Amino acid sequence: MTGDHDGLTRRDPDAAGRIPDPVFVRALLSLYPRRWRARYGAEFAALLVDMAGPARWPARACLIADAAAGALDARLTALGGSAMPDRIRRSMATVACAVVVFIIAGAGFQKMTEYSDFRAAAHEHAAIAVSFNILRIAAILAGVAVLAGALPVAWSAIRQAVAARRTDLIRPMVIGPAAVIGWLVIVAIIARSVRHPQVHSAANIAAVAAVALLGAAAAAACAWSAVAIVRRADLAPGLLRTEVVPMAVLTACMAVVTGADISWGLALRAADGALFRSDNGLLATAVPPSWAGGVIVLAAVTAVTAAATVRAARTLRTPAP
Amino acid sequence: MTDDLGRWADPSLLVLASLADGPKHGYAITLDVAAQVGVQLGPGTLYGAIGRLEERGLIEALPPEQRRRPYRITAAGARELAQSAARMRRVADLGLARLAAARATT
Repeated sequence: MTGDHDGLTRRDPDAAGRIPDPVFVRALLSLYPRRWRARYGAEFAALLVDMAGPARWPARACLIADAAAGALDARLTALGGSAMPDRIRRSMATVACAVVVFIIAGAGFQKMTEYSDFRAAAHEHAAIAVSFNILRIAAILAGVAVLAGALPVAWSAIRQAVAARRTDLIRPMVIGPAAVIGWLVIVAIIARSVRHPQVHSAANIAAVAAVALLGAAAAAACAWSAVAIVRRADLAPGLLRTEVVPMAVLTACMAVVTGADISWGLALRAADGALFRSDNGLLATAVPPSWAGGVIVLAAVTAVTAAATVRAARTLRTPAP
Repeated sequence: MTDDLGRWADPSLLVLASLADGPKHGYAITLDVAAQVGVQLGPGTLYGAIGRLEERGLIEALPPEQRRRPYRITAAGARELAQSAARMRRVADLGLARLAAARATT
């Protein structure tokens, strides 16, 4: 496979005893983007050597021209990796995963604070109420930002899926929503069938564990669906550029939500220490770990979203291909 | 002939058709396509198709054998190939039937 049959240059074995690729192979490979070479370089070089072996000069010239044209194609497509759309897609995929985790953390906070004791504390203490209301408003704005970013992408992907019967797009469009609907149905069934009076009974713990595990699976399916659509859909560079705006708004809203959650917990501890130390946290556990866990998760997804948004914003300096 | 037909000689479809009977690496695909269809896929064309097919989940890479990496058609790729081949067959049947009818009337 690596014999000296290119007729262009004499090649001696290197220190490891391997015969290096012919000069024309290395020259052609150098035309391809770095990321492309990292993924396909070795096998592409082997193919060039294999094809060049039996080829005479007219055929070899066609081979070289085709490989050079392939390099141009690789640089113009997202697979080339250096283009602006490819970078924004990666940022969008990261943010989509962060949003899924953000929603789970938000649902946990909502679940914990739906007890009447927390509502009463908010009525009695202005600091708790203000933090709680800021958090809710920021969460709603975050939802609006997610919709503003997701709907144009979804619309474009749906059009492509219908027009070209893109099964690679239809599949994630179906799997994500189906996973959520399936999970909600299972939760409804469990909620009706498991009603043990003791909170920490075996039946309740098993039910909660099933809901949590299936919920994690549904969340993973949603994240996969969003990432698959972002990666596979043919999205116009102009559309990708505009995605940075809702990502920036979302980052700001996430930061406000995280700050408001911290403020809410501190205000609750200062104003109603007994409630803060009670067992009214998630799954009837202590409030401080539930609150601190939520804060940590929110802070983490906010940091991830901010980093992805900054990366995407930096690519806007790159001219569109 | 197939080279003149543009989309019918779509390299992606040729790669899918070549992989339909089992995994192959790049050079084996070019030999198979040349022998079966008479189309010589260039290296840049072949890997442009492989990259797109892999990105869309229609083929998947297997562990490399030395420097050659075999590829395998996925279930989604097989469905895509079946749909495209069925469409091409309908066009071929239509064209052949009408040509035969035209010959019969002359």
